[in-house]
Amino acid sequence: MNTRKRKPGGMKPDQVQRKAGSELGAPQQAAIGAKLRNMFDDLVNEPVPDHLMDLLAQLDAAEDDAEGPPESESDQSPESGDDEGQS
Amino acid sequence: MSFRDELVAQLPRLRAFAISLCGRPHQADDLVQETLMKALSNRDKFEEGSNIRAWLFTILRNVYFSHHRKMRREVEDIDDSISKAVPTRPEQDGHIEMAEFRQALQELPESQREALLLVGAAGFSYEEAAQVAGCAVGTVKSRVSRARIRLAEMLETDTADDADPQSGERPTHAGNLTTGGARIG
Repeated sequence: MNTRKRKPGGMKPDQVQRKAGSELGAPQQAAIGAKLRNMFDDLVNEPVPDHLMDLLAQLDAAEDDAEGPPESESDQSPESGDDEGQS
Repeated sequence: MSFRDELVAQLPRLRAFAISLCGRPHQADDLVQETLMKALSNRDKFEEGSNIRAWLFTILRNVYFSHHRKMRREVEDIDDSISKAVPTRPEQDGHIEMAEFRQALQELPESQREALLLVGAAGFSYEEAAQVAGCAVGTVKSRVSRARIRLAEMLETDTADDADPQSGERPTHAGNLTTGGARIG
């Protein structure tokens, strides 16, 4: 545990290597990993807001349509309005 | 799978990354929107068959670090905070615990949060994460390691009074970690 010398906080460069001995214990690491994944999975499972799906449909349709700049959104129906959010 | 279908398929994860990186759901949606627009206008630069998820995450984090992080610092928007976000599974145990976790995550230095999210949440390898973040593999490893330690310290402090709900085998060397972080103590 001789690596404890360095001051905590502050502006340490990211390259500082920790010795294996100062790693967290396995149970602690697992607990943090599980919480992190729970949090992330909750977010992944949230429905994607419609405006993002719409944007994708519009931009892509415009691109496929003409290589030129997209005109105003013509009345093409978005191909898929479903927000199943497969993951 | 068309390019657009690929984007759609990645959207939930991309958005989850944005929210947890910037800590603000509304700002995160702007971030995702900008990312999508960049992705579409640069689609010719994407090599068919290569890792689209890494490509998208790279665009998003670049947008964030070049622009959005300033907003995060400058604008104090208390209504748009991940720590206030409503859990999607209200029946789940440990709401408060999760809120504390989200809060603690946002208090990490950004580069550490990014690394931890890429590796620990989004499931990238250290090598992929290094590509996304544009740094050395060793840097990612050390950031992830320090992020975990810092989180453990913060959560330890938060829940010091509570009984540990999950395991009876609380690591005995946990005290060391707290002294390692000295600044709190």
